Amino acid sequence: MNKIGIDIGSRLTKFVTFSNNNSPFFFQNLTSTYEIAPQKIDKSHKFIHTGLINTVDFYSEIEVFRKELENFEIKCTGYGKNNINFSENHNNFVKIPELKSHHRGAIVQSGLENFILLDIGGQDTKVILSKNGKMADFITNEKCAASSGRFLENMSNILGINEIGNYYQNVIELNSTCAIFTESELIGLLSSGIKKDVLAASVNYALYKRFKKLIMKFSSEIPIVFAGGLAENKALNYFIKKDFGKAPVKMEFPVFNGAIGAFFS
Amino acid sequence: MVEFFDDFVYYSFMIDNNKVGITTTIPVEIIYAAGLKPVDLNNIFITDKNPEKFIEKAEIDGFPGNCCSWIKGIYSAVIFENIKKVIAPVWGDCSNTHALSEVLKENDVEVIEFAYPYNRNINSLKNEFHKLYNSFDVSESEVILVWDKLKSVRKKLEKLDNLTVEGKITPLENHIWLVNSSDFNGNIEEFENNLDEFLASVEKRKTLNYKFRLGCIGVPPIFSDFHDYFQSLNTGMVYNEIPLEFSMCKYTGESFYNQYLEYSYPYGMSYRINKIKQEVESRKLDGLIHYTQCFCYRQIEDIILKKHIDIPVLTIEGDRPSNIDARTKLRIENFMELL
Repeated sequence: MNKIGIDIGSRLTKFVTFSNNNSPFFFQNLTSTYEIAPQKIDKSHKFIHTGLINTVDFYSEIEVFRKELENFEIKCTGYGKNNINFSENHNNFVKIPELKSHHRGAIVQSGLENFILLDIGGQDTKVILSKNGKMADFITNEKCAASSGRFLENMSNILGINEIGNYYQNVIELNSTCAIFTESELIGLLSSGIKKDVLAASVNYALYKRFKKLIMKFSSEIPIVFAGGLAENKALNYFIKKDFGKAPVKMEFPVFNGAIGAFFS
Repeated sequence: MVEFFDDFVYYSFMIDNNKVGITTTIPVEIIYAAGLKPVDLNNIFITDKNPEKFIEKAEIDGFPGNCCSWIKGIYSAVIFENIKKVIAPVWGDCSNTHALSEVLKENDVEVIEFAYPYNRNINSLKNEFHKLYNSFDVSESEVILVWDKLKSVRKKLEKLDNLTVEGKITPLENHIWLVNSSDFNGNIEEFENNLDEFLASVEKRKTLNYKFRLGCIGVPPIFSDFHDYFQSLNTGMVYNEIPLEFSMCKYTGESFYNQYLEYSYPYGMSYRINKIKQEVESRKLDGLIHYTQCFCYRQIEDIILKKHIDIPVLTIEGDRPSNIDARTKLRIENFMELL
């Protein structure tokens, strides 16, 4: 039976499966296929197939997905794993807790056992301490959108900047603690003549400061592994390196880390 | 009772001068000794079929969005129930009570302020109690008589709590009985009779076996499905810290005043820690859930709890009365994985 790892996040739904065949065997139009370097991620397979879809679209098309995956063994994580329309009556549907999936994914992808995993998702930020391959502790952000990927997305819309992650110079402090208040603060700063690229860098920094304190709770010399949609964000990587003295460990498929971890759980 | 439905919320036009609203556990013996009926305003708010309306009413009247929902609920409970006398502990419960008390006075409510002594000193406590005796025109001996009568009820509540630890009584039932003991539902005899019936009814029950045994620390959770959710995870919340303290059922061997000094809730986290530690050990708990209320100063106390408790602690936060949100469920599930 074919197996698939699915991470139904608040913003995006991620699918991952592995095979020795370079043509994907599900959702042809959604899927990308990559050859895996030998010994990386999964020794028994040559190819990884990844699929990405907006979660709202996923829920709208849930019947289609359900039918398509009828004969798969599904390992599912993320906020949507409890959606009964998807899991009900499926013979081989296993729910995997989020942090467990992300932790497993990070071990598989980084090859490390001792690390701090930072995962910034659309709705929340997770920091997991891994000791000898076991999840030793975890912290999540305060119940507030200002620590999540959604914050950056909204702020880049306000500023009209596509690649907000490229800006990290000339940071100014933003005062608002709340994502909604930050919107009006940005408008105020724009009207006072401050340039957009300064504000873009400052928004990145404001987000960074929120999760920095979570990482600092695990003060340690072990590497920081960065997963989630913002792992490619240059500004966040820059700030981490500047403060912690080392660049975060990158993974090949940061967005798919949860789905990969669910697959291997 | 005359009731007027305004957008599904009733306003009582009948002023019942026998009712005394309380915003938290206070020496309820004094109210009973005066022949009056205590009404825990928290319970009016949270057991209503539409508690959200209480919050909406308070916000319309000017309470800010980023202010504790319990305070808003209490305020509206006074207004909706047309309660004209309230005891408000301005020290030892909630830092917002000062402002609430002023707002209630503006609404023609007689507010009797009361303070648990910060220093836990028996003379300071006696002073505060005597002020209440004067306000309610009762004598110390009359109050002690009620306290004596309540002893047997409190002993039965202790039995109920022990049965929860044994797995005969669900954590939700435990929570409801103990929380209700802040005012004994306004009628001690009826409360005791119902409790007798309940205790008799559970005797033949099968024992519940849990995968994990947890304790809930902190103010009563505002989540409506809190205990049901943990039960669904095969986890027994066999220690409800603050509801147990409200009942004072562990202190029946103490004198009247000492009972209110042993009662740990008003005296800060440093004092509570030792009691929590004892219960963790005697109830063989695997972990603790520290429930904190959004915008409450008690969120800061989490620092002390985490520092001194050596079993896993998960701190969760609730805002309005509703089911547990998906994010908090995610964190709880993962906490279980860690156990």
